[in-house]
Amino acid sequence: MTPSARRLTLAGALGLIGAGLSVLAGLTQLLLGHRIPAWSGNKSDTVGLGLLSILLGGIAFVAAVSLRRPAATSPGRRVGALAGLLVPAGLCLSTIGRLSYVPAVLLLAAAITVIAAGDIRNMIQATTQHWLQVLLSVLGGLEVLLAISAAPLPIAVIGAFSGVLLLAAPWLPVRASLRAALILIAVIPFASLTWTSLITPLIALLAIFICTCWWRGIAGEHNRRLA
Amino acid sequence: MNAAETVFEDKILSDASSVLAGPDLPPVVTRRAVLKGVGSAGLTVAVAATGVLSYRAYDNGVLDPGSGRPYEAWLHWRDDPSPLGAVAAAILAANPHNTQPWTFRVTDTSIDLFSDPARTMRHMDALDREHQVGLGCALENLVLATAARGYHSTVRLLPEAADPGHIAQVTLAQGSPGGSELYDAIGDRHSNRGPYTAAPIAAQTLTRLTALAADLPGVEIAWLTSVGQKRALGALLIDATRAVIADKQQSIEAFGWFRNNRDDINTHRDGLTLDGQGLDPFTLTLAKLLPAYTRAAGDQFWLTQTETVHTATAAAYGIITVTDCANPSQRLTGGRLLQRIHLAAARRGIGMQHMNQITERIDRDTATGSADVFDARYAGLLGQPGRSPLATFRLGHPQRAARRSPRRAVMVVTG
Repeated sequence: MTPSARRLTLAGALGLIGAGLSVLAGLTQLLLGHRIPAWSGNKSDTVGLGLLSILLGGIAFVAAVSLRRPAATSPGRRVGALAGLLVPAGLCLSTIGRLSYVPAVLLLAAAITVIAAGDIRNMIQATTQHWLQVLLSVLGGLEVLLAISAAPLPIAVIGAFSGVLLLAAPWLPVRASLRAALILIAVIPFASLTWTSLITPLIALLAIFICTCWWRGIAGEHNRRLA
Repeated sequence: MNAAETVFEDKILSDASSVLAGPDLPPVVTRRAVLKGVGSAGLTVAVAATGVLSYRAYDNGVLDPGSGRPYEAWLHWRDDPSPLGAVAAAILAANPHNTQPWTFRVTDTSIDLFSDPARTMRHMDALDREHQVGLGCALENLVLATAARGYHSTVRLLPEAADPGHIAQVTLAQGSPGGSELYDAIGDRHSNRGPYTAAPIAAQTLTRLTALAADLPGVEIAWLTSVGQKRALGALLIDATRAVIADKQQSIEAFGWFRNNRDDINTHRDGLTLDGQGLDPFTLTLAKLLPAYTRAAGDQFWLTQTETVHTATAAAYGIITVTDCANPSQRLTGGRLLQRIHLAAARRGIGMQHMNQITERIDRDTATGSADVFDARYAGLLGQPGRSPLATFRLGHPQRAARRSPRRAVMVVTG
């Protein structure tokens, strides 16, 4: 086994432990969060917070598992795994409260180990090639974050569904027109329902603009090829 | 998606990535690559800024104002039929700066109301006037809630001469449930600091509100409804606001009770909040998304609102008067009347906001031995020799609904 492969295996192991602890922290917040406000970031909705922790743990779990497969040597997969470890780690550290500090540190260590495994240049290249998709997914993540704090429940559910859709849509292997339609579905209903928040309409406008740039980029490239 | 399209998508930013120098790349950076790089960077900055704003929106509860645990007291105050349930209604009373300056001792046959000395404001409320008026408000809710739960109550104010912090003892005897329109309004009563419409308050309504003082000895209500009276009191209120802001100790103390973000609200469950300022939805959202208010900015905001909204749109002012505004019993009784009026106003869809900056300055000047600035002016405006203003408020038909204020849980205030 090469040093790089050993590091990726180690990162996967750290990620799995961190993800497991994050799920455990989420379950604790779900069941006991209101009794331990100081450990739950003093959040009013500890049920939503617990669900968020579990969701983040799930994302980190998928990322960690992907690192333990042979295909992890692909730069694109490494970037995906890195994001899947870093985003939960960041949210665990900043938002969820003391219960998530240990999983956050483990996920952060896993992410650093992925970087230490090398092949940085190809990872950067893979990222820049798909940068607009990355940005759209980030906006999807922001929608999920806002949905968690939204009320009443139907709005929160629509927001969470919209966020996950926006997060995933740029990567789905479907026709570009269908993908654009999915992105519109992911942003317009939630923005319409919560327009006074200003932030969801801003996310919608930004997502549509990025989607348009992406579309025009594809079309332009296509035309140049034909020419 | 066909293979060619996939290839094109993979290449979409290949020009931009080529800017990141590599050994195989051509030495010349094309104009197209530069433009793409700049565009991508711009979009990245925009997404990052949106991320920061989203976090602030999440952290400050932009999408769920007035909900969550700090506001649950407003939803469950009817649930418990026991005397402890009456306390759940009492803690929703009006009180100065939402300090919630009370504790309760509950048994099967009595409820004792105590002042919480840790929740006084020694600069803003130098002589504890508002503190005791707020306790009177809580007492009124308590009496209404015990009646609704089938108890006949007997109120004894200040039952222990040796303990001025023991505010009242409410003795309970079995009776029949007696709900009332005032009791039903407890969950709908909020201070409305937003703009009111130009519609006047009907004289008949003011007469009914005045009648609420009938069984409360020593307290009366004066109404200022003419344009001249409102203008004069408005000017006095604005002057008093300026004086409070100019007094650093008062300004600092008032700012200390402002909860600037959701974490503060969740932690303390008291104080004033952005949600309670009567702002329109856009301005409220902007206020939550932008960096937290500084004390100076908060003071300026209060002054501007006092000038352009509070005094400019008041349909009428009410002043609760007593013969001796330093007398604790009269303060408590005045608080009971204030709470009744606020509940009755809420029942009729009338907005109400407590505006005590004039008396805050009067008491402050008294406590510090400063020359009188406001007392004589206010007495002249009131025009009732032998009576003193205890508490002041404005009334009107609100343009938008008031929002809930955070409240501490019953278990916290009953030990």
